[in-house]
Amino acid sequence: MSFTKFNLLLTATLIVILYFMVPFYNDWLWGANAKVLNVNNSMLDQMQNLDTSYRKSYRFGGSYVAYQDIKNKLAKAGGSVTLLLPTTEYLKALGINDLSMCEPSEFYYFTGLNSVWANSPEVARANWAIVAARGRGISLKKIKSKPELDSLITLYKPYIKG
Amino acid sequence: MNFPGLIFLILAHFISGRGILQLFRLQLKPVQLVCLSVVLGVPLVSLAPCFIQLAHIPITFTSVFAGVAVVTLLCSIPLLVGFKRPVLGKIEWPGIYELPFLLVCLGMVVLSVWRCYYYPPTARDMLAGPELLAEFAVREKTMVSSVFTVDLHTTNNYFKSPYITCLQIIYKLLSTPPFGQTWMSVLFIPFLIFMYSMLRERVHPFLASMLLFLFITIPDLFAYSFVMLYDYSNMVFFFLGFYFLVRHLENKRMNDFAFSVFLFGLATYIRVETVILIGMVSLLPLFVFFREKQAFKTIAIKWGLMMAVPTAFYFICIDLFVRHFVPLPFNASNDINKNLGDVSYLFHRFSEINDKLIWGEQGKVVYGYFIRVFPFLVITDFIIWLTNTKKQRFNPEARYALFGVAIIYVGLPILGYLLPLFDVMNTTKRGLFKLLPIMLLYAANSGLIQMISEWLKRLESGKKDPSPQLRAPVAKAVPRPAPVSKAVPKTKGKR
Repeated sequence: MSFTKFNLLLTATLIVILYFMVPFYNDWLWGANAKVLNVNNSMLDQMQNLDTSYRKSYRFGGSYVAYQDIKNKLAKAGGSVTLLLPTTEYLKALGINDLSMCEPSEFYYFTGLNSVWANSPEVARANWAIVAARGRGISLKKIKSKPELDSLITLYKPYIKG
Repeated sequence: MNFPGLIFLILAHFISGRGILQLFRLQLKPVQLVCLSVVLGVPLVSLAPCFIQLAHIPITFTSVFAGVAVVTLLCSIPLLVGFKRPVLGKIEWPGIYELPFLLVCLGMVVLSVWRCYYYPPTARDMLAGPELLAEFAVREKTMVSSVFTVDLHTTNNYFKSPYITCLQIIYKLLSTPPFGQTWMSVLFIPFLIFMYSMLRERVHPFLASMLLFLFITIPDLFAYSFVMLYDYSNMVFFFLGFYFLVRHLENKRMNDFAFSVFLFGLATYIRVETVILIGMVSLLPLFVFFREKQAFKTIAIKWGLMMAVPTAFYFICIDLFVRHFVPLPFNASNDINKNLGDVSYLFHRFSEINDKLIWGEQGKVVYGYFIRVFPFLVITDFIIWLTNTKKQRFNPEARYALFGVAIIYVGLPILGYLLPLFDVMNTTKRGLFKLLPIMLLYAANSGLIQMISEWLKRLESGKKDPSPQLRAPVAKAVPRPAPVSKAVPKTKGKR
């Protein structure tokens, strides 16, 4: 290797080091908010956990686990289900911050269950609802009458954006 | 993971892309030809499930396998007809001094490929659109699945191009179930190699690998190499279309022009609103053709072709695929701004993009310093141009790239003005990806970087004065001495 090439090799190494010493890139590469080399995101750890449901819960978080729980409970209940979903904003208003509710199409992707929002044109189809209570989390409730459905719609609608 | 399936698909992409490339008879380096073939093969092979659905054949492993094989065979006809033994050129291995840059790039590529394979698709636009459609198409063996019985009033993502839906169907069935997605790596890696090769043609390898390193470490661009959405693919095809257009403007070969138009068509197939940006880009060849005093008829034909092909892809996407695969009413006019008379919205959008995305804190998180450094590079080049007596520092390619940057910079606010759903923090943010490879093309032609490149070449060859070969941009302007054989008068008699 010629002296020039060796110098260029050193220069390139220096550029890479200096580049990743810039605070923004340093943080991005391996800092507290690292997106590249993150200890919670380690490739070696991931290689030990190749199970599909683990990978889904890892990526989608606790909400995905909750959706699966809902799916299993409704499967036990049997019958055709259309679930009335509250929004994340509604849950947050009740102090439930660790759960986010997705929109009906995503919910179908996660669970294969039909669902509606309170402002949906098809809301009258809802026969089950996710209800929430401060300090007690969420639970499932069978909707037995139209007034019951209407009261839930009135409760959920103000928290729907747009 | 089904490795034979993955190899089959990579080969299908390569062969179908190579076959179509054969039609255009481009003059490219072997490595560029291979990379471009694979890249081109991705959208071509994606058409297989569309045809299967149109023929009302159930979507199964066998039918998709056969569909991909048939599409590959059809696309490879030009290759089979004019088959020649491939000429393997000399491989230019990277210099040792490129290793620090290239090793980082390699590490990033490995990480991207792994995440592509390991993670499920996560973007909301995918879970409420193409990924949802693909998942249920695989389960129910039809693209017109039970998804359309669900309450879809919160989304319009199912009206988007079938490009991702079809690739997901193919990859879920044939290669990497249950998440698919690995087609993104099949697109991403050849594109990067193509960019590297393109950079090496223009600057010293040290700078080529450094520029590639800067490109791959753009935070969000790297993230979207494994987060499935339309924008990375759209950027790839839009850039390649622009690149071959620039090549045509320089070398005047119609093949490059036709290929560029075809690539713009594919970019439109991936994101239909790209057709508006292509309309704006078409001003560049119009200007150049008029300046060159080409015949009006020729200009009209070329411009018409440049607009007609992407428009045809738009209609194929919307009127053939979307209308057949989405059993819900679709009216594109619903997406258009109802108050086009209020131009203040356009200026508001323009300032919002600048304040939030380019110069704001969010801009740094998304693009790092890549976009922010670009104006300083242009200003430096301008100063060099002003102080340089030879005045050739802004070479044509640099000027065309600057035009491309300007088009995206102005065009995206216009798109946001026309289509209010084209929001700033999501759609425009990712739409600005199209700037990045064009900026890289500019950087490779920048006066400053060319000067450093020439200096590095001199340094490496150990010569004090640049040889004519090493200072290509300047050499163009300097009249070359006549060849010796012509300069020396011929004399009769034997040697």
